[in-house]
Amino acid sequence: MRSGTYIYKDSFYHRFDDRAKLIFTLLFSIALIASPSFYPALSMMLLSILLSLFSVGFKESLLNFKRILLLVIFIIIFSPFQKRDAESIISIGSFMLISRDSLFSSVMILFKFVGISFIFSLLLETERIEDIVRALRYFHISYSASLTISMTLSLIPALSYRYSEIREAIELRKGKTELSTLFPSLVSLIVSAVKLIPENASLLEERGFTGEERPSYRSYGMNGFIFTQMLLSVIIPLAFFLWR
Amino acid sequence: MSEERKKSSALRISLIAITTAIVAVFTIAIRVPTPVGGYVSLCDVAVVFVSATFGPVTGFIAGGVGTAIADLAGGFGQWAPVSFVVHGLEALLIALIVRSKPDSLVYKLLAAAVAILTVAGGYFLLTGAFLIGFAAALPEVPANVVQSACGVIVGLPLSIAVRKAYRRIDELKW
Repeated sequence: MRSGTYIYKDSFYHRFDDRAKLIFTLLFSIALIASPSFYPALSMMLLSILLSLFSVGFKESLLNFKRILLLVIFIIIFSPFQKRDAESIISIGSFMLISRDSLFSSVMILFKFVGISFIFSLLLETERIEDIVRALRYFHISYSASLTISMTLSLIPALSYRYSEIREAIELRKGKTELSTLFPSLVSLIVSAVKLIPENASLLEERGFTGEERPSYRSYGMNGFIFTQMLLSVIIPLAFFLWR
Repeated sequence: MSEERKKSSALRISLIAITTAIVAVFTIAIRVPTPVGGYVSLCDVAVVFVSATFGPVTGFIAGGVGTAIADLAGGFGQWAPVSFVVHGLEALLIALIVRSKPDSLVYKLLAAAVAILTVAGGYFLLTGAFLIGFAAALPEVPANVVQSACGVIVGLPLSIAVRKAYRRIDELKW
């Protein structure tokens, strides 16, 4: 299981403010989805790849590409045959195989998909989950919602470990792991997880949790460059959005 | 357990956090190997279990957020918004159908059909429109049909088995 995607480095994008990075990721994705023209979409895809190469290096960027490779192949194989109502590029006799329109739309889908994949991966590779939660708190995501997300994130590795313990115990008892042992393993995992619900609720109440809003103990310090970073996060996607 | 406690914010937060973590763990950590060498994720099993056991609100949040977190943690962040909408809606619809007549086989079959339609149709429409195009989204449909059907086939009996093993589970609903 890969529970954390953060890659420790000291790149420009790592040092970029987490709030600005959230805004940039969101606006960049919207601008890329909305882009109707070839060159802006190509430039945005290249920018996301370049950012990835400079921030997390070639090896991790290649790994990001490998994760989406299967769908990239699907897009290349299936998309060009969608439209047959424009100028033909490849045809067999009178049958139009690939038209100029369909090739253009396939290339656009490819640019958008690769660009969005890289920019999302980059956010998670250059920010720790707790920093993303802190940034969400800055944008007035409620205390209860932030607490729930933090609790969930801390429970995922614990439950995964518990599942592996259960599987090992069943394997020792039965001698081997079979598909038939999967159902009892799932029941055991869920029962042990569900029993944690009242326990965790009691712990929260003992710590004085009442469900009311409270300020975060992790606050942002003074950062002289935050205005510049926020401005860049808005201006770059906006420039691409307006470039038609 | 008192009525006030049942409805307390701490209990709600704990319930949502744990059910969301269950969905995320089923999605990332538990993978069943297939005969052709691939893997099937059990995310739909967890979504169906949570919605049938804890109702529409918990199901919607845990199903949507749990699968979105799994996508983010697994390096498929671009899928997270789609997973949130599709699995959240799947959980909501299943819970509403199953809750109306919990013991009816017809309603369970209806829930299965709705789950398959929501997951296969939802992923096809949303990834087709926003991510990979409809032509590339089409080959994904059979895998999504199988996965969501398995989700209902395993998820509903799982809900019954867990209820039998831990009878106080219904006290945690809200």
